[in-house]
Amino acid sequence: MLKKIKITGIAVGFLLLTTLNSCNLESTVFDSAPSDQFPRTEAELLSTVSSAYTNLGGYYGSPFEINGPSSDEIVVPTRGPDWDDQGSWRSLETHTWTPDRPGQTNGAWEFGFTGIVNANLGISRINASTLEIDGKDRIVAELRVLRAFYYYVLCDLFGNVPIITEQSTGQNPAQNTRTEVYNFIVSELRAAIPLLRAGSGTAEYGRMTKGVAFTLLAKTLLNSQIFTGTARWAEVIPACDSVINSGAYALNPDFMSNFAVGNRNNPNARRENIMVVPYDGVRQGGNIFHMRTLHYAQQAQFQLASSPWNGFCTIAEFYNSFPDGDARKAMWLVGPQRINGRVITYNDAVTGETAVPLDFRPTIAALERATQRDGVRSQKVEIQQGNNRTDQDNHMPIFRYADVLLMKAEALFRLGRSTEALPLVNSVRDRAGLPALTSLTADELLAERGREFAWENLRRNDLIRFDRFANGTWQFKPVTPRFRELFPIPTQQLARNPSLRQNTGY
Amino acid sequence: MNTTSTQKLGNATRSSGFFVGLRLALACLFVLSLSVAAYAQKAVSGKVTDSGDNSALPGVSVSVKGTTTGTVTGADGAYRLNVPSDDATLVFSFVGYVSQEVAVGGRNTIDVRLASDVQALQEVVVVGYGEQKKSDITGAVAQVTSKDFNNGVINNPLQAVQGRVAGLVITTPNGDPNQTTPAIRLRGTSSLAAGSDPLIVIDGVIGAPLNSVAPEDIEKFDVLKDASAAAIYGSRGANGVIIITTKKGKAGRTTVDYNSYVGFESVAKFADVLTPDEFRQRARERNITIQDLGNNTNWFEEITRTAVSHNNSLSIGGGTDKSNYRASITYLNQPGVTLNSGFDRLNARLNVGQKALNDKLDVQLLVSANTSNRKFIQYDAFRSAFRANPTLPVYNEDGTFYQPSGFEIENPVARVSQLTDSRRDNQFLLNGKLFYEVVNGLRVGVNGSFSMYTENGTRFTPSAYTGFGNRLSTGERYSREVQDRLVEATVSYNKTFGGMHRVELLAGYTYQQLSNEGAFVRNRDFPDVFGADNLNVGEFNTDGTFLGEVRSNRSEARLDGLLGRVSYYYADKYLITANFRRDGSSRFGANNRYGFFPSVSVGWVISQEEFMKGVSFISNLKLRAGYGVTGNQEGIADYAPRQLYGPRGFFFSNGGYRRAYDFIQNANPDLQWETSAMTNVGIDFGFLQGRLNGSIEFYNKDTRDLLFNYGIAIGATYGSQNLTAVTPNILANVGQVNNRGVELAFDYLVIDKGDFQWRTNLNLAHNRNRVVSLSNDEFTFPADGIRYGGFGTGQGGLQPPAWLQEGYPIGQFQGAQFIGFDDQGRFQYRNAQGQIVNDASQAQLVPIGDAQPRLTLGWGNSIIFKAFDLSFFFRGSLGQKVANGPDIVFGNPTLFPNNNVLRSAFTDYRQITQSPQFSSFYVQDASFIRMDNFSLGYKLPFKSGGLVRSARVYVSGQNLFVITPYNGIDPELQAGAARDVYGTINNEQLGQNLAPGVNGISFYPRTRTFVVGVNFSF
Repeated sequence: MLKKIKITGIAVGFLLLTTLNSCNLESTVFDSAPSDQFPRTEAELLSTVSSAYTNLGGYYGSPFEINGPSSDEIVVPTRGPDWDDQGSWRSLETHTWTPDRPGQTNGAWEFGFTGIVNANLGISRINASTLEIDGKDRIVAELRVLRAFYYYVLCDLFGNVPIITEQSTGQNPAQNTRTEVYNFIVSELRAAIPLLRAGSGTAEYGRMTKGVAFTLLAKTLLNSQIFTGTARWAEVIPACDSVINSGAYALNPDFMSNFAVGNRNNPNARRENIMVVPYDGVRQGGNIFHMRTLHYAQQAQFQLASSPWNGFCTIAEFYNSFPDGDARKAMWLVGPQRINGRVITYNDAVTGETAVPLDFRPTIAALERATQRDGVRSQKVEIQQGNNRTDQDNHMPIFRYADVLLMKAEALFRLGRSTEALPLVNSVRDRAGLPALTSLTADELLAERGREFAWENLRRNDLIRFDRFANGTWQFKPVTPRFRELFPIPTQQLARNPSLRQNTGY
Repeated sequence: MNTTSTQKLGNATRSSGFFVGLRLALACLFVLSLSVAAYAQKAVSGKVTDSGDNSALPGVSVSVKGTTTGTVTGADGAYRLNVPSDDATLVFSFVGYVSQEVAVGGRNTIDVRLASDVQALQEVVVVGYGEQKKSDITGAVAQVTSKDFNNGVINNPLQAVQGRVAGLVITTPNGDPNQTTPAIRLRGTSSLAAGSDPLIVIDGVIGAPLNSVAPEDIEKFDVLKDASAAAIYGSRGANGVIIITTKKGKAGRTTVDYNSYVGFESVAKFADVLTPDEFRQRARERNITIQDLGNNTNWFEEITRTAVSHNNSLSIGGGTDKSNYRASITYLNQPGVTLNSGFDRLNARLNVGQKALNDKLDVQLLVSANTSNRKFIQYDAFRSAFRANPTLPVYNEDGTFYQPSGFEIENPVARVSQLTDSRRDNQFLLNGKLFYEVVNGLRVGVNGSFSMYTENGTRFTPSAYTGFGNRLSTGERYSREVQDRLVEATVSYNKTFGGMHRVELLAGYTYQQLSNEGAFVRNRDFPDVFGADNLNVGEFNTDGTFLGEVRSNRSEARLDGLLGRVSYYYADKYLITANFRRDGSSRFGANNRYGFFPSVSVGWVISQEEFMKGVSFISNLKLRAGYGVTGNQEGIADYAPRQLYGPRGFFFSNGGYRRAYDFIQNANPDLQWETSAMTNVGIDFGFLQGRLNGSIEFYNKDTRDLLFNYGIAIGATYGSQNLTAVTPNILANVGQVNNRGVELAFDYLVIDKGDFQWRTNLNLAHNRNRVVSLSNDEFTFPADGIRYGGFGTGQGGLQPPAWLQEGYPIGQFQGAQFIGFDDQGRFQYRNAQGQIVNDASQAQLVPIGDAQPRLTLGWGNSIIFKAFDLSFFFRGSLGQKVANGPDIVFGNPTLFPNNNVLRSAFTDYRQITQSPQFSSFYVQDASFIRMDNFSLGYKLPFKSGGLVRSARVYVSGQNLFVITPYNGIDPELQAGAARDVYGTINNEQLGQNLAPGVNGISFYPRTRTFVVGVNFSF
């Protein structure tokens, strides 16, 4: 009996031992890398300083969706029940947006600050690491240029945003004035430039180089009057010259190929596209211009993986600003759309008509109840036929060499040096197959920029600089108060950071 | 990369576990080495039989009172025993029977008939780590035994008690047979981002998966409703506890039970859309040209069917007073009413118990295994059936599917026929328990369990499916494994002093380790013939390597706890029970890893007082009061407090893409438990000699430190470790939710006249839910709240209807207040300035009702007349509102003729000229009373003592009718997300939790079921 008990006792003890294999409450992390164990090698460290790059994918997301529709290049009419979105798009067209809506203002804010924080963390990691890394200073300089770019976007959209660097502390970042943000961008770029690589070869393409930094510097200086109240036109010219004289960049003779599906492998496109978002259907999603603009029924026309959304188009005025013979006019999809030579038909949910031919017409009847075929669509970003993914593979430029030429021309023009500006403008016109201008006006310059950079996230900024954003009118858009030249600080951000003050007028 | 540190961690882990284990083993050895012994003369023999059917009872324990002398009856019920003298008294005891004491009085033969003890079984309540007599209970506890279970096609255990317990709301939102884990809410929803489902404990296995037990194997449910009862489960008891006890073999004659039924399930109600002829007629009336291909298609009928399900269950059980066993096997095959949806499951279970060492050692082994096959359909098919033009054909002339096009328009028959989505789940649960009575009243116990759940899923869209312009085949495979290890040690001591004082003590330690891992592969563009079974034949990179998507994940959590309970009862009149528990969870930050969860409750049995002895109409009157604190950590991510690197896209460098890594979350090392403090006051009463019993409960529950993703400014420095926010959200403990309510339960034996018996029971519950606060010093909730919920359409114009805001209940609706139509058929609302506007997005948004019921109720009746038994059960929910998505979208005549619409679009709603908008106009009263269950049975006459012990045939029905003012398809909707097998909550589930009462236009219909069945007992 006693023996039995002993055996049982041993059995119980054994059971406890084998089952109680741990009383440790520290769980093992399996599918992520804990920060005390990663990064450990040079390659790992480099992989942790690059999310500021991958964040660029959002540039043609929320920022594009508020920049475009608030200017004259894009309109998103409500088509019956579609694209109502609680009036978000209409509020952009009519300049009646609020701090709550559209949600893309918050998206744009978070796009900027996510990139900034990623850059700051990357800089901290490099600075704190004891690993020997080739080009440590250059990597930090690249991150500072990226951070400056995000600040440029925020300065353009919101103006008064907090400056956060890798050294910032404090629970809620304090707000800075737009001038302070401007100064920060300029000083950061000037400090970083000497440490960056020059050139536009395979090693440099897609990265922050001297060319990118000078272009961004020129862009910032060009907007100095808007950002700070003080014009600095003369400083724009040497910044542009640094790009022009580097020999790394040139206009691509074939305008549309800058946006073509294979542009990453086209040397001409790579020489023109100074700074790009390296979109990819698999690895860098976000190239969805075709989804926003094409009609549902065009899925079959282009053999797309998903049915497009039939939203974004342009107003007749803007479309008509492209003369016949302008190579850039090829960006528009207009007229009857065909599959195998037969015009596509569809049932229109707005008019109730059935078997309507899909014929894109420049005129948009009404902002609130447009038909499904109203408005000319964009194929500037070449539509990837037979794509098995929703997202496309075209890299998308953020800054192009043509912009450097036109920025320099604008600075010269503003300084009264139109004669020097004209050849620059004409070089861009010539590439588009248009005759040379013999004289230059502000309106012509703005229109040229409109044709050249349509749907490239620059139009709102240009309109503001030429005082045509609030003050200008176009279909659905009356003259609006000047405070609309800045977007409001989103409500969510005001709630999260009580030290923020709302922009004037909102 | 990090192998060295993992190894180090592993070693440290093992060594610390070794020492704890060693200590426990030594303690066990010590208590086991205490032992007892004894002696005995004069022979007495006899036979023990069942007083009911006179059958012999083997395994009955026969002992001489006051000694350790005893024996056990043999297979024929006979026994023989030596007694010390004629003055001796024999004690006959047997599990499930009333013990009898018989004085020997000089006799040599003593035959005894034992009566089965139904009462005794009912009156024990499982309270967690033990049982208490019902009369000793001081917390709010409800029990449902198998005789009160719902009938019909029951594919998950909780369906069997749906509506039977006051305050326990179980929602099966539709007739999809794959809805085997319903949303369960006990006394309201008290959590936002963490789990809100009660803890499920099956036979002592904490968090055991619901589907591991077939409904037929369940003996009873005990529901611990208040914190004073649930506090023994500490950190896991905040949402209440449902304890399921499975059937065990009974000592005595071996029983074989066979149950079988066939169920006929059909759609209870279709949407009331235009018929093909009406569709044409409405077009003519409005002078609209429609695309009329001359067909008459009822799209809803095309994708549905009458589904015939069947269930067969066989069990065998028996035992002696030393051992018992029960083995069962159950197979359920339940096709869905929608084509190609279905569920089948095979459950097997073995429960074995054995006593040894003079009955001091009690060993129990429970093994269960099941495998299920699921076929899912996409609920979008019903949206397509709504929208599709009824004059279109299902098939082209060549037999292929006709495919219409347009926004959210496709052939729904093609969707349910061509797309496949199936999964096989396997579940294995092993549970062993060992108890040893060291000295009288002192018991030590060990409980260990291991549970493994795996799933293997396949999804396939062939290129032949051309809806929504599809031209590619797409295949997916996924697999998942969840493991759960539990080990517990307990010591309990029960003692009665001086006749009047009773003490029950319990102490224990529990440790649990959970893990979740999975993998996913997808590829596309291969010949349909491969299905999803050879995914590497699809898309490839230029170098020929696989290009499909690949993902995998693995995480784990660890929990430990020290628990204790002290109960003291004086003269069965004054009762007090206190629980305490100290728990730790790896899901929380090192600073706040442990929580303490105490509770105390008292009871006063007034009916035991001297002054009540004369009050004959009161048989029982007990006043109870309790207070307790419980915690919640369910549903949150395993690694939430940690700073982790994960993939953050690709960057382009040197002509190619490279992976970038960065922080993937805002680590919160300060994260801690959500805690609920609940006060409960209850009265139990019994009148008319116990024929009318009932209870009333009042409770107030404050849940604080709510776990929720709060907004944070990117770049802000936060928390005790000055981390930088990298994303706009952080899981933190901030808010507070309050639930308070009243519950009433009555059980009345109306008629009890021999062969005619009528029992009725009624339960009523009222719960008021309110979000008290969502902000603190560090986090500010958005001033105008956050919106949740969608109507299941990508169509614009429909803002999310549910609104999370301080001062309002979860499930509050917010939107424009509709004030009427203008003469152009436009909606009219007021904006903030009081002006009339026609666009809901311009209007001032106001609270417009909520989805919380004011009263939930269940009313059951069971009538036995001779060999017939009849039961019927009504379940109701009153006062809740629903946002009627189908009315918003398909009640709108402007959608015609591109979409088919509801008949009401041309009657009640014919004046509408605007596109669909959500407003108060569409928030409707969805109160309902449903005849949930009905059953009529007949006991076939069999001679007692024959092979067949009893046989019953029955018919039953589920969801026979519903009374409701709601004009949608069905008023009862998803009341929250169901618990995932690992408890994880994704964004979709969060939306379901925070937006109950939203009637979407993509759905699965509710069904009506008729069942014919037999129960045989051998």
